Amino acid sequence: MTCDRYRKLLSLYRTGELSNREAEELVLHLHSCERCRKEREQIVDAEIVIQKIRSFNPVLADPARMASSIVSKIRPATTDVHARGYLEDLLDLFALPQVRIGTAALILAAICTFLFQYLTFFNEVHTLEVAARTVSSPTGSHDVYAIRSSRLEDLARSRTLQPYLRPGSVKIKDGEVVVNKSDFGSFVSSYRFQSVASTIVATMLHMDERMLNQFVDHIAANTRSFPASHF
Amino acid sequence: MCDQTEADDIVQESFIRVWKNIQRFDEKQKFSTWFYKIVTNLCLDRLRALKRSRSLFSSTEKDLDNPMPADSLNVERLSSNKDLADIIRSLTSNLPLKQKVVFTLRDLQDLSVEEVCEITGMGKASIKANLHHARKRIRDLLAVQYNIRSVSS
Repeated sequence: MTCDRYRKLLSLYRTGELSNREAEELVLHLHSCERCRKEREQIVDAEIVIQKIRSFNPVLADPARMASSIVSKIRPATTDVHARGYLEDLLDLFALPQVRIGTAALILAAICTFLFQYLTFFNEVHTLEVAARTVSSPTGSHDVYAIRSSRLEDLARSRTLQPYLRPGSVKIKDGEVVVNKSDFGSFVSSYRFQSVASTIVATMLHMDERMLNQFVDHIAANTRSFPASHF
Repeated sequence: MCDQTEADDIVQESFIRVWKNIQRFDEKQKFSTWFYKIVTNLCLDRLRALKRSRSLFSSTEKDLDNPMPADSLNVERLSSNKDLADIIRSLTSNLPLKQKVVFTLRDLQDLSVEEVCEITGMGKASIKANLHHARKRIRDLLAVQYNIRSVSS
């Protein structure tokens, strides 16, 4: 390494500017180089002058005037709508406790309404199940239901529900949906699940009770039962 | 900036920027480093604008790099903001902008090399190189004022 290189290292004399290895190399070199030692003395002298400059703390002439000037400029800056996005303005509204409480109340009300309607919907579908199940033969020996219903017929034809039904448990015969009594529960349940998505919107508006009764009557009127041998 | 009015403007603008951008401040970062970054960027913008306007109105390049008289480097008479401004201007007026910034932050503001890296966005090696050149030039100026004989000359 040449003296020029060591002089560059000498310039970097303050803490953290040299690696340990560089510092060790420099110390070794200084032992043997009079010229570089002289250079170090000059660097130390210069640093004393710089230290004096560094230790002088400039004084702010009038801090109060400066502070009021800054505040007076900050106020119009914060009300400058063009410098801010509308979203930021909207979010700023939530800094008000009244807005936060009001929004939380609205969200809670929406969740409660949704849950209420949702539970009501399941209750209504259960009513359908009961209505269909109660249609049985007076002797109780009949194990198959035949229902004339376009909705259930569509369901029976739906491919998406086939994996959930026992193979051959549901058939369409002469325009009627023929279901084994033991499979009827799962069939109506699958109807329920398929209907969830499409009915959810209607549920939010609350299912019309008159329409529900009509469908229950429809199931009851169009369902007949007969022995399993007919299946 | 070495000018009271300019410095006041920069300080005011810095506080306004802090106020406007406080949501961008990363709490893991040191606040003073973030503040220095804002101040440094504003100073650099202002210095570049001043240099552009001066080069438009000055007749020769010589006017731009006109050094201060050597006796203005007397730190013994340092007792006011103006004295400080005169001394710093004398020391740094002939330095390129990068060297001036690095020297000011590291040697006058006493910040660590890592902080200077973060504030300027420069690499450690570049900062060391700029520091070396700045200190060399400043040493030469001080050598004249304080009658220190330069070894390399």
